[in-house]
Amino acid sequence: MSAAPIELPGVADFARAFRRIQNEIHKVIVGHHQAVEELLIAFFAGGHVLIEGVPGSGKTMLVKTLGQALGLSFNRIQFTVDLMPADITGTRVIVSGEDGRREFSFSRGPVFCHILLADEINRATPKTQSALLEAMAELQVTVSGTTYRITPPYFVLATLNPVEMEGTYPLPEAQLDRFLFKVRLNYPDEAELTQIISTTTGPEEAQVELVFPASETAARVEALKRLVREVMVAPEIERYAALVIRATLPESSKFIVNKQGLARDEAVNRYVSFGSSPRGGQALILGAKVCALLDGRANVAYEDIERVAQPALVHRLMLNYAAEADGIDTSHLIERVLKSVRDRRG
Amino acid sequence: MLVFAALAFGPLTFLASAILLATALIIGMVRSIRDAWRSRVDAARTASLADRRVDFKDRLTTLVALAGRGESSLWPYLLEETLAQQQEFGVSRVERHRVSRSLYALLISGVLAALAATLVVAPAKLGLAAKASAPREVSVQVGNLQVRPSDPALDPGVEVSGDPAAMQELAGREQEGVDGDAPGDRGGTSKLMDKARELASALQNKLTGRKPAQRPKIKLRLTDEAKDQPKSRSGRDRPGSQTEPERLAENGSERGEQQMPNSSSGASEPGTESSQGQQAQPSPGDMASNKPIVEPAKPGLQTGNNFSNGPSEPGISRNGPGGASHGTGTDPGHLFGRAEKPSTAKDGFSITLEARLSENGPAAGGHGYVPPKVRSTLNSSQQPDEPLARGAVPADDRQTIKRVFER
Repeated sequence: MSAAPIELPGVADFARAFRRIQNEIHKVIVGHHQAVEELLIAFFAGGHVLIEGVPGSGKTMLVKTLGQALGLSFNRIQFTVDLMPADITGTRVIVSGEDGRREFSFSRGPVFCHILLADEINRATPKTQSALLEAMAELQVTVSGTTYRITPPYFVLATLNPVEMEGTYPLPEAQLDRFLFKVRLNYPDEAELTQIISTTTGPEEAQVELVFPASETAARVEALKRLVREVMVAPEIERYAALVIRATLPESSKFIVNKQGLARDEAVNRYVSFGSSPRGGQALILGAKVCALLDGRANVAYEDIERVAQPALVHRLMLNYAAEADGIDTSHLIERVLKSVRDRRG
Repeated sequence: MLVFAALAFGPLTFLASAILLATALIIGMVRSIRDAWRSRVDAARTASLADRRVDFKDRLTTLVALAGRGESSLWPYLLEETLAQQQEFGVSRVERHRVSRSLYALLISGVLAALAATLVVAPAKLGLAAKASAPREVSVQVGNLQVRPSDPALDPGVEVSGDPAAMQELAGREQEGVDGDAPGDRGGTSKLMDKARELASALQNKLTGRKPAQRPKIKLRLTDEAKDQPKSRSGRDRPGSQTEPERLAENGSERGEQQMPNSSSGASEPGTESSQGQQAQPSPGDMASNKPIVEPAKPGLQTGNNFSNGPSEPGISRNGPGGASHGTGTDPGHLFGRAEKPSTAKDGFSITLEARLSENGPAAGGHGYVPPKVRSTLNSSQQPDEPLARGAVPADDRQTIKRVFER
C-alpha cells in the first residue's frame, strides 16, 4: 500500500478544507448555508455557478469572500447593456516598444483570473454574454485567431437579478447549460437579518483568513479537484443519474429517438418544453462525488445524486407557457421526477 | 372452494365456478412465477439490498460492481473503510427475520391445500354427501305438458313414478320421443350444454362423493289446471283436440291436485303460468282430499331426453299460438291471426320441467304450503281479468303493418 497513504488522507483533507472555506465565508455571509455549500460543491467539481437572488441578498459579497478565503485572483464585471465582448475577453492594442516600434499586443480582459464575478449577467446583450462561453467551457479565449489559456482553477459566478427585468436579456439555453449549478439566495429570516445588521453596521469588519498558503492555493485546489474525480461510482448509480435526466425529457420532444425510460410523469410531459441536456448528468455525478467526499466516502450513493439534483437541474428545464400560466415551479417538477425514478428503482 | 362449489351449486353453476377458479388459478400461478423470476437476486442486487437495509450508503454496491477494476486510487480506501464497518452489514442486521417472509405464502397455500383435501375426503367418511343427496320424493304436476327434466345430468339415476294415468301418459310420450327423436333433431348448442352438464355432474360427484344412483326419485302424477283450464288456455288449444290423458289430467286437477312452484315456473308458458299460479292452486281445504302418491317407482321408466323431444301431439299445449313458440319469442307469424301449428318435432322445442329438490316442496306423503286463492267480487266498472280477445286486423292495414315490421 504505497499509494494509499497519499490518497487516504485526501478524503479527510478534502472535507476539512471544504469546511474551513465554508467557515471563513460564513464569517461574512450570514445564513445561506445551503447556498454556500452548493457554491463550494460546484467549485470543487470544476463547474461554474449561476446565483439568483434579490438585490441585497449578498450575491456579490459571497463571491468576493470566496476569493478572499482562497487567496485566488478575483475579477468582477458589471454587466450592462453597452458592454462589449472585448471588454470581457480583452483586445489587441497598439503599444510602442522601447525601440520605438509599434506593434499589436493583446491586452487581457477581466476574464483572465481565477474567480470571475459576472454581476447581473442578464443585463448584457447575448453577444456579450456569449463571450464567456469559450472561457467557461474550455478555459481559453480566442482573439484575432490567437488562443490564450486561462490558468486554472477558474471559477465563474454569474448573478441574476430576478426583479427589474426591463432592459434585460435572458441567458440563452446554451449559456445556461454551461453553469454546473444554479444557486438561489433567499431572503434571510429574522435572526439572520438581525445578525446581518449587527455585523455590517459596526466599526469592525469581519476578517477572512486564507485557508491555504497563497502560493499553494491553486495547486491545492487543483489537487482537491482531482481527488473529486477519483471518487468511484457504481454503474447502477450512473444509470440512475441517466434515468433522472431521461425522466426530465417530455415525450413530445422531436429530438428523442428512443422513448424507452422517458418521463412517465404527466406533469413533465405537460409543462416541460426541453429537458436536461447530458451536461445535467455530468453535473449530477460530479456534484455527487463532492458530496461523497464530504461524507467521508470514496463512493457515490443514490442519496448524493438526489442531494444535488435541484441545483444541477433547475436551470436546465425549459418550461412552456402552460407551466407559467399554471404557476408551476421547476423545483416542484424536479421533485416529481426524482420521485418517479425512485419508484421505478424500487 | 371447488369442493364448496360442488356441494352447493348446480352442475352449470358449478361448471362456471370451476372455470373461473381454474382461470384465476392459472393467472395466479403465472403471476407468481413471473414475480419470483423478477425478484431473483444476483450478487449486485444482494449488495444493493444489504446497502439499503443497513443504510450503508451504497458502499457494498460499489464494491461488488467495481471489484477487479481497481482504476481509482481511492479503491483501497473504500475497501478498508468498508471492511472496518463489517459489523454494520452482518447477516443479522441485513436480514432480521429468521424465517423468510416469502415462506409465509407457501405455508398458507399448504394449509389451504390440506383443508381442501380434508373436505374432499371428509364428506365420504362422514356421510355428508349421502345426506346431501339423500333421495327425496318430488311430486310434480304433469298436466298435459311435454315433460323432461331440466337437468339432463339427472338422467342416469332418477327414478320416476306416478299415478297410473301420469305414467301412461309419460310412457306414451316416451315412445313418441323414441320414435321421433333423431340424432340430428337437437341443436348443437343443446348438445354442448348437455355435455357440459354431464361433465360438471361427473366432476361434482367425484368431489362430493355422491353416486349417480343416489339421485332422488321424481314422482309424477297427472294433474291439470282444473276447471279454470279452458279459460287459461283459450286460444291455445283447439276444442276437441284433447287427448284422453289430458282429460284425465283435468279431472285430476279438479280434485285439487297440488303443483310444485318450480315446475309451474319452469315448465309452462307465460299464459298458463298465471292461470296455474292463481287459479289451479287448490285451496287449503282441498289439500286434505288430495290423492296421495302411492305408486311405487316404475322400473325402467326414466325421465330424460328420450321423451323430451318427441313429436308434438295434436291438441297439446304447444300447438296453440300462445303456446310454446310464443314463450320462446319466435312467433312473428302470429301477429296476423291464428298461428299455424309449429313443427316442434323438427325444431326440437319442448317445455322444460324444472324438477329440483326444494325445502318447501312436498315431502313424502305431505304437501307444501299453497297460498289460498283469493277471489273478490267485481263492481260495476270492473271487468274480469281475462285475456282480451285478439282483434282482427283489417286487410288494408296488414300491408302497412307488414311494411313497418319488415323495415
